[in-house]
Amino acid sequence: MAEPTTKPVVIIGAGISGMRAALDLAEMGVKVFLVEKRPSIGGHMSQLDKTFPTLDCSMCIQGPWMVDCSRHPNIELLAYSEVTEITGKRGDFTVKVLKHTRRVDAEKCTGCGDCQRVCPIEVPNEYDLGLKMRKAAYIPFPQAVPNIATIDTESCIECMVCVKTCKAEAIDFDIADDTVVINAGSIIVATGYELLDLITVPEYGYGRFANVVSALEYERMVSASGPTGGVVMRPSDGREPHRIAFIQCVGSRDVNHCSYCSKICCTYATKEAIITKEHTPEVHIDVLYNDLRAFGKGFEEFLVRGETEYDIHYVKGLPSEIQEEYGTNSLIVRHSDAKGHEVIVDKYDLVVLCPAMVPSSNTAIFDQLGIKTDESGFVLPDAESLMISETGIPGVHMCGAVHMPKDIPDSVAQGSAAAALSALDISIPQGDEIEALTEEDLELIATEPRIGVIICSCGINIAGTVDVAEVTQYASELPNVVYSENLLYSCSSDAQVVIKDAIKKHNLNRLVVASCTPRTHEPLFRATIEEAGLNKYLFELANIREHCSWVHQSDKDEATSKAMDLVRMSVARARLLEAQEEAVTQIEPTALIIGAGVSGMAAAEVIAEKGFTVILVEKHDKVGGFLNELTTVNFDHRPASEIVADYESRITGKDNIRLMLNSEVVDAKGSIGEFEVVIKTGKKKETLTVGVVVVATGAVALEEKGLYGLKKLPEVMTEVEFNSRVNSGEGFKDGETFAVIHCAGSREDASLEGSRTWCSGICCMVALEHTLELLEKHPNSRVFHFYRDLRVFYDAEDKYREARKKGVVFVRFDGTTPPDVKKGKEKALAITVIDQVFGAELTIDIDHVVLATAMIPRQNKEISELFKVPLNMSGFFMEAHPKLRPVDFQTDGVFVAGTATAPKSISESINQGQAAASRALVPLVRGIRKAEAIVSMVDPEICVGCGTCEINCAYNAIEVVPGDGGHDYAVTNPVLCQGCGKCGAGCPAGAITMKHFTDDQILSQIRTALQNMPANDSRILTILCNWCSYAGADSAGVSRYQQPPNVRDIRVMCTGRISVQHILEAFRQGADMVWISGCHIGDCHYVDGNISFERRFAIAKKIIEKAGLEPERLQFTHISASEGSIWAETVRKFAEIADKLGPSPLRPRRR
Amino acid sequence: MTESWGQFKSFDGKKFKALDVEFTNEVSKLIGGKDLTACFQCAKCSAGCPVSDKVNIQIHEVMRMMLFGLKEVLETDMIWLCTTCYTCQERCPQGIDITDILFGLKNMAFKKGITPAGYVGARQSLYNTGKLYEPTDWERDDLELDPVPELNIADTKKMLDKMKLMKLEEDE
Repeated sequence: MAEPTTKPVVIIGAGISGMRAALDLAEMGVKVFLVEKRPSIGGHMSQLDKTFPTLDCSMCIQGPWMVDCSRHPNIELLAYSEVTEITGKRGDFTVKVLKHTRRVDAEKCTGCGDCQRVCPIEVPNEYDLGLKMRKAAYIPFPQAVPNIATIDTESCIECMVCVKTCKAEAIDFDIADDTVVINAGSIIVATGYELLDLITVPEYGYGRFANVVSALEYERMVSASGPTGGVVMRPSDGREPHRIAFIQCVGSRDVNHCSYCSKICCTYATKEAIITKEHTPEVHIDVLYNDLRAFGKGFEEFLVRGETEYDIHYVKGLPSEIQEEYGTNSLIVRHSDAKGHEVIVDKYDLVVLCPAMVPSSNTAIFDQLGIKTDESGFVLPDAESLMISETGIPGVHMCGAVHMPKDIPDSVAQGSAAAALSALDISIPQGDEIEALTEEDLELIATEPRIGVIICSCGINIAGTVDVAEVTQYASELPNVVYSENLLYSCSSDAQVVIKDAIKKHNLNRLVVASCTPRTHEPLFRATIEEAGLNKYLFELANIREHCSWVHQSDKDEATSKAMDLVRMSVARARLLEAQEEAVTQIEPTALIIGAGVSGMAAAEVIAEKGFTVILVEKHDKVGGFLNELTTVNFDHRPASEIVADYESRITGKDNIRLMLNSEVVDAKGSIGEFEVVIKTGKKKETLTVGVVVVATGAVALEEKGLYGLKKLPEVMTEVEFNSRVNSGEGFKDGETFAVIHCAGSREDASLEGSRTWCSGICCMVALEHTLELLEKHPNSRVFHFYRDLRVFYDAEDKYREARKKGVVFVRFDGTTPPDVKKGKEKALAITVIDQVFGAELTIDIDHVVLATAMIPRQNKEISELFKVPLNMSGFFMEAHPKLRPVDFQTDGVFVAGTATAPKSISESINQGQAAASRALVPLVRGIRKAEAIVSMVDPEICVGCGTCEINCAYNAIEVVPGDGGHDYAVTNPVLCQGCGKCGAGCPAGAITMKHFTDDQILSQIRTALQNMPANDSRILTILCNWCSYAGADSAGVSRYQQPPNVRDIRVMCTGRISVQHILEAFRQGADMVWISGCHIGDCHYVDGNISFERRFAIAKKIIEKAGLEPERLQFTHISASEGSIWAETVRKFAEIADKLGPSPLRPRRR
Repeated sequence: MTESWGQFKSFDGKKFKALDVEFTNEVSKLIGGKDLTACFQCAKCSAGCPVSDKVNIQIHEVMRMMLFGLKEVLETDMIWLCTTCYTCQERCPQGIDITDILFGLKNMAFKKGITPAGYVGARQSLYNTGKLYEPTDWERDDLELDPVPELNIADTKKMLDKMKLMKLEEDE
C-alpha cells in the first residue's frame, strides 16, 4: 500500500451522520467536501420536531452542527449538488460533482429572502412535504444551511422580478450548472433513506382520503415551524382531531413490500403521540401495532411513559383497511386487540401511517464504486470484520441509514466511525500555530475604547423599516464611538475591506456591527477584525434585523427607536469587552483504553494505526470480554472465538499498542491532554500519562438464582449455557422439547425496587440465533418461545420468519402474567402460561428451559468515580447526550464505547469502538486542544471555598483546592470549562467572573437598555440563552412573525448565567417586566443550566413580591429554536400583561 | 338435531395441554398451507374479514389454533362462514394463503362429519340431480320460457365420482 497522501475526503450526503463524519474529520484537520443533493444540508432530522427519547427539539440540537459545517474552514459544502462519477481507488479517487445552478451567486446572496417574497410562482414545499407552499425562488426553511436562495428552474417562469428586486445583485440566470472534480483520498457514503411511497399500500387509502397522513407529514404538523404552526389539523377541514390512530408496519415486516423491520417507527410514533398529548392532553390516541419494538437506550422506558404517563393506547392488531365516512371524512378502522376475540370498529378523525424506510434512490454511484447492496437496496457491510461502516471496498466507508434503517444515535456513532476509517486512508497535515494574546493586544485594550459602529441596511431588509441614516447618526454620538458608517450589505466582501480600512484609519479597538443574528454572522466579522489585527473577542453584533426590522415591519418609528436602543446596548457592552485567548492544552499522544472487548480492541486498532500509543487495560487474563463466554454468534453461527482472534490479531504485534492483562486502573488525575493514571497489575503499580481515555468496560448477561428456577430447577439455563451446550452436544438429543423465555430480567416494572426497566435489545435476536442453531443440529426439536414483544430489527425479521416456518411456536404472554416453570411429571419441567391471544391456559411439558436473560452493566462505579463520568440509574455509563453524543462523556477527553452505555450487538459495539476512536483522534491528531475562551475565572481573594460551584458544574471544570493558611479557594480548569456561566451566577461570594459575559457587561446592557424609556409604553427587558430562545427569536424574525416592539433583549450563553442581581438591577432601572427565556427542560446545551436558573428565578420572584411588585412582572419561559411562532405569541402576550400592569412603580420619575 | 359444526365457541376458561405438532404438520400440507406457520398473529386478516362480526372464532385465531396443533379448529364456525372473499389472503403480510387453507379445513372437517347439515343435503342433491336447486317452473312459465332442459345426470355423476364427492368422509 502506498503512503497515505494529504488528500480530502468526499462525504456524499449531509444528513446527521454525514455531518458528524465531516465535523470529526474537519476537526482532525482533514479537508472535507460535503456533498448534498438538496439545497440545504441537514437531512431528515431537520424536518423533525422533536427527537426521542429525550424529546429534545430537533432543530435546537442539530442546528448548531449545520452552522458548524458551514463555518468550518476545513469543510466545503457542495449543497444542491450530486456526485455523478467516481473512479480510482483508496488514496486516489476522482470524484465528479455536478453543482446544479441555483441561478444565485452564493458569494453575493445574503439570504435576505426578498426574492422569495416577490416571486409570483407557488409550488408545494418539499420541506413540509407539500403541506405548505414555497416560491420558485426560495430558501427551503428558516435554518437552511447554506442560507442562500435557490431559483427552482423547473417552476420558474423567468419573469425576472427577483432579479430586479435583489439589492445584492446576486441572482443571475446565466449561471450554469458546474462540475467540480475532486481528487480525494477517501469516500464516505451517507445517502440515507427515503420513506416507502404510501400509494403502494392502497388498502390504507393514503392519497385518497384527506385525513390519512404519513408520519413525516404528521411530524411537520406537530412542529411549531410546520404548516399549521404546531396545531394538529385535519387536512380535510382544518378541525383539530379528537381521536388519532397511528398504524405501524405500513409496508414493513410485510413480504408484499419490505420484509424487514424498519426499527424506529414504534418509537417515533410514541414520540409524535406524546408531543400531541403535551399540546392537547384530551386527545385519544391509539397506536395499532404488531410487536411493539424499542431498540435504543431508554426507548423501552419511553414507551412505558407513553402508556402510563400520557395515556397512549397501544393496541395489538393491524388494521386491514381504512374506509372514509361519507360526509365527515372521518376514518373507519377495523382492528383487533391483544385478546383478539372480536374485531373492533373504531372511528378516528385522523390516521397516521408509519411507512417502511427504504434506501435512498440515489444509487448510481454504488455500481461505480463496486458497493454491494442487499436485496432491499441497503448497502451490505463487510461481513468478515463485522465493521458496519466498511463497505468492503478499500477507501469507501459508510454511515447512517444507507446501511439499514436506524435511529439518530446509531447514525451519529456510525458517522464518527466512518470518519475514523477515512482518517486511516489519508495523511493529515500538521496543525497550524497557536494563537495567543500579544503584548500589542493588551496595550490596545488598555487604551481608551475607540469604537467603530457599522449600521447595515441589508438591502431593504433593515433599511426598509429602520431609518438607518438616523441610527448611524445616533451611533456616532454615543460615548467612545469614533466612527460610524452605514453599509448596504455589511457582510459582502467589499464591506470587509471598508471595515478593515476603518479599523486602521480610525485606530479602532472595538467594533460593533448592527445587522443580523450573531448566530450566523459573528464568525465572519470576527475573522475580519482579526485580519485587521484586533482580537476577535473585541467584536459585538447588534441584531437589528431578526429581532427588529423583520418583526416590526409596520411600525417604522418604533423599529428605528428600538434599533437605536439595541445599538446603544451593544456599544455599552463593547466598551467593556476584553481580548480573550483560548487556553491551549498539549495532548499527550497516548490513549488509554479500558476494557479489551471487541469495542476496546476496535478503538485500539484505529488509534494505533493512526500512529498513537495505546495502553489497553484488561481486567481479565485474556482479551475478548463477554464474547469469551459465548460459543457462537450471529445468524451464521460463527465461532465467537474466531471474532476474538480476529480482533486480537489486529492489536498484536504493533509496537504502539501495549496490552496490559490482569490489570485495572486504580487511580486517575488530570484532564484532557494529560491524565495521570495508575494501573495495577497483580501487586505491581505503574503510573502512566495519557492524553485521552476510552471507557469500554462492556456488560454481562444476567444470571440470577431463582429467576424462572435458574440454578434451582434442573435444565433451566441461560442462553449463554444453552449456546455452549448446543455446540458441545452435551445432554441434548433430537426430538426434545425446549422452552425459551424472553425478557428474563428485562422490561421490569419501574415501580419495583431495583428493577431492570430496560429492554436488553439483543436477547430476542440471540434467542433466535440459538434456536435456529439447535434446529440445524437437532431438526426434530420442538421449540416454544414465550415472549412479550418479539424485538428483532431489519433483516433479522427474516430469521424470525424462518424460525416460525421451521415450526417454532411463539407464545405471547402479558408482562403481568409471566410463565410459571415447575418440575414436571412426564418431562423434566412443565410450563404453564396464559396465551395472550387465546386468553386460555397452556401447559406444556418441557425437557429444557432457556432464559433470554437481561444484559446488565458491570461494576462501573470505580471507573465512574475515577474519571468523574456519570452512571445512569441502571448502572450503565451515561453518555454526554443520548442522541447526538453517543460516545462522548460530558468530561472532555473521556470517551465511551460498546455495551458500557447500554446493551448492543457485536457489530454495533465494534462500530462504537471506532466512533470513540474518531472522537479521541480529534485531540490526538491536532496535538493541542483549544478550549473555550468564554470560561469562568475565580478571584481567590474573594472566594470563600464553599464549593457551591464545584457541586453544580456539569463538566468537573471547577474545584476547590487547598490554599495557603487554610484559605481554600476554587479554581477553574479552562480546559474543561464549557462557558455556561452557571458557577458565576451561583457564587454566593461573587468571586467568579465569567469571561466575555461579565456582570459588568451584562449590567451595562441592562442599564442602557432601560434608558430613555417612553412614558406611555411598557418596556420588557429580556435575557435569552444563545442556543434555544435566542435562536427561536431569530426564527420568528426569519418567518416575519410580527411582534409588539416592547422587548429589549440581551444574549447570554445559558440562562444558568443569569443571576438574581441581574434581574433586580433591571427592575431597579425601571423595567416593567423582566423576561428570561431558555431551552426546554432537558434541552439545555450545558446539561442543566436552565434548571439551575429555575432556583434563582424562584428567589428573584420572592424578592420582587416583597418589594411590592406584581409577580407577573417576572417571567420565565422555555422556547426552542424552531418555535418562532411561539416566541412571537409570547411577546404579544407579555406585552399585553405589561401594558395591563402599567408602568413599574420603580420607574425613575420624569424630571 | 344439534348441529355438529361451530361447537367450539370460545377459549374462556379453556386449558390446553396437548399441542399436537402432527396436526400442525398435517394442515401445513393442505393446499396453500406451506407458509402456514409463518403467521405472526398481526390479526390483519381478521380486521378485514367481512364475517368477523358473525363468527365466534376469528380467522387469526383459527390460524393460531393450527400453529398450536389444536384439532378443535375443525369445530370452529369460521371455516364454514368464510365467504371466500380472499381479502385476508390478499393482504396477509406474511403471504399466507389463508383462504385456500380454509378450503382444506372444510374438507378435513367434512370428513370427520363436522359439517352444517345443509352441506350434506346439498351434496346429495348435487350428486342425485346434478343441481343444488330445482328451478321453479311457474316462474319460467310467467316469463313464457321453455322448461329447463334435461340434464344428463350420468355425465355429471361421472364427473362427481371422479372427484370422489361422495367419498369425502372419514371412513373412506
